[in-house]
Amino acid sequence: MLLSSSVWRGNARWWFAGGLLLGGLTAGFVAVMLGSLARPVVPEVVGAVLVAAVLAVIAGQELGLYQLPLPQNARQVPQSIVAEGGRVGGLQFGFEMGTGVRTFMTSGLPHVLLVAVFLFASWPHALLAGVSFGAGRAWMALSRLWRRDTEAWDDDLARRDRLIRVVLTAVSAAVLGLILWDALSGRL
Amino acid sequence: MSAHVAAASRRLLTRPMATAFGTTAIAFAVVPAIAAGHLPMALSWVVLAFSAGYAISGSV
Repeated sequence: MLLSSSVWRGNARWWFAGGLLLGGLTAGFVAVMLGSLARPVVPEVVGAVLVAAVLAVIAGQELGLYQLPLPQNARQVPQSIVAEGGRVGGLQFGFEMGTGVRTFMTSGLPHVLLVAVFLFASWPHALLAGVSFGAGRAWMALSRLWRRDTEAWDDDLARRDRLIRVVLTAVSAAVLGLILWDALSGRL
Repeated sequence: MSAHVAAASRRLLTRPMATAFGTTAIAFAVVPAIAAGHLPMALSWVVLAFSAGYAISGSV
């Protein structure tokens, strides 16, 4: 499902990366805005239990114990947008993908992030998380293109997919624990 | 010499596992520091969100 390298002529990849950051920023904005309606009525302890439960369930999937039918759009943005749209096409492609709405969700970690932002992020943290989400997406796409031998990169990713999932899940659990601990400190 | 360093850096930066373990290394470095109050909490959100973005980008 990875994009063919031929699509990325000229500066299209940078417009795409910029779009990913903007898309992530937008997703963070929407999540924290909607979350601001829920946070006043959801006790933080309940929210923390909910986030931890979502992480635990998703972790099982990332470890390969089961496969969950997680909510997702499961539609790819057409590559023709980049090829035909020039700079704006790359930007639009990245933006739509960066929101995480028009894409295939090959991991459940974004769902964990969404719930965490919804229930616990301040406005600055939510916007920062949105941009960082876009940066994570952009890094994978750009580092693959920088490899030049993109087929080797694809093989590399496929061979180590499970280990990468486990590592990223462990990292997410560590920092999420910190976020929840910070939110609950003084309330337990 | 600098060309060798650049080439080695390029090889490292373009390996998916290197990114995953790099993120882990950063997390190991920042989590205790944030817990001790030496770094802003914002870094936790950055690491969490970057990991989520990287994790699903096999679909890019």
